[in-house]
Amino acid sequence: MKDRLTLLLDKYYSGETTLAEENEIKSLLRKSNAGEVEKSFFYGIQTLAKSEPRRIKLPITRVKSISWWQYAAVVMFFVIGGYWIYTSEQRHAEQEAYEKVMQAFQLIQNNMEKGTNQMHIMDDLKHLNTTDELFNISDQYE
Amino acid sequence: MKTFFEAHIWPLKNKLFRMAYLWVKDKEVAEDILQSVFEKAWIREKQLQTMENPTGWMVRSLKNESLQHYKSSKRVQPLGENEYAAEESEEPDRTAEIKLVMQFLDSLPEKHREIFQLREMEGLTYEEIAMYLEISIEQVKVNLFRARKSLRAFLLQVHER
Repeated sequence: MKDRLTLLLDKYYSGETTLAEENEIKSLLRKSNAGEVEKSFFYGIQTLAKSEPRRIKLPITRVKSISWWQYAAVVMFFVIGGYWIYTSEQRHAEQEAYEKVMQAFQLIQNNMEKGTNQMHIMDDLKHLNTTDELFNISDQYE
Repeated sequence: MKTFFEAHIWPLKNKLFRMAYLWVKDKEVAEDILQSVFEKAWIREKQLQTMENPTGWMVRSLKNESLQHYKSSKRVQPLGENEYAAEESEEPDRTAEIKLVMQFLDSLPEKHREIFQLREMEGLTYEEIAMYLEISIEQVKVNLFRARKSLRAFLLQVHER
C-alpha cells in the first residue's frame, strides 16, 4: 500500500494522475499511517468542498416579460372562442325559429285536413251539375 | 418542465459559491455576490441559452462581481483562526486543516489557485476546467502542474516545522 501511495503521489506532483487515481490517493491516505501532512491537507480540501450557500434563492419572483406572440395567442384564443360562441348561439336561434315555423305549418296542415275531411260530404253531390239539380228544383213546381 | 436557467445555471450554485468564497474569503459576501450574478443571469436567460459557453460567462461574471466588491470595500479579508472555527463549527476538528489549505491557496498566483481549486475541490476534468476558465486544456495542465509543484514544496516546509 505504501509503495502504491508513493507511486501515485509522485505521479500526482508531476501532474500526471487521472481523477480516479487522485481519488485513490485520498483513499490510501485515509488508511495509511504515513503522509500525515498530506492527509491533513486533503482533509482540509474535503471539508472546504462541502461548503454550500444557505441563503441563495432561485430568482423566480422576478416577472419575466411576456413575448408579443404570447399576447397574440391569448387574444386569438378569445376572438375565436367568442366567434364560436356567437355562431353557436345564432345556429341555436335559427334552429328554434325553424322548429317553430315547422310547428306552425303542421298546425295549418292539421286544420286543413280537418276542413278537407268536412268537405267530403260534398262528394255525394259531385254527380250533380246544375243548380236545379243541386237544389233539387224540378219542373213539378212550375 | 425545467427552464434553461433551472437546468443549466442553477446546478452550478455550489461550485460557484466555493469559487467566490475563496476569492472574497467571506461566506455571506460570497452568497451576496452569487445571488447578484444569478439575478443577472436570470434576466439574460435567452442570451445564455444561445451562448457556446454559458458556464464561462457565469464564472467571469462572478469574478467581476468579486473584484467590484474588493474595489468598493478596499480591503482583503484573510480568514482568521476564529472565523474558521465559527464557520465550520459542524466539524471543529478540521479547523487546522482548513487553515492549512487556505494558507497554501493564498500563496498561489490567481490562475494556479483557480485551477487547483476546480480540480481538487470540484473534481473537474481538464476539459471542464478549460470551459469554466475559458482557457485551453494545455494551459490547464501546465498551471495544475505548477500548482502541485508549489504544493509539494509547501507541504515539505510544513513537515519540517
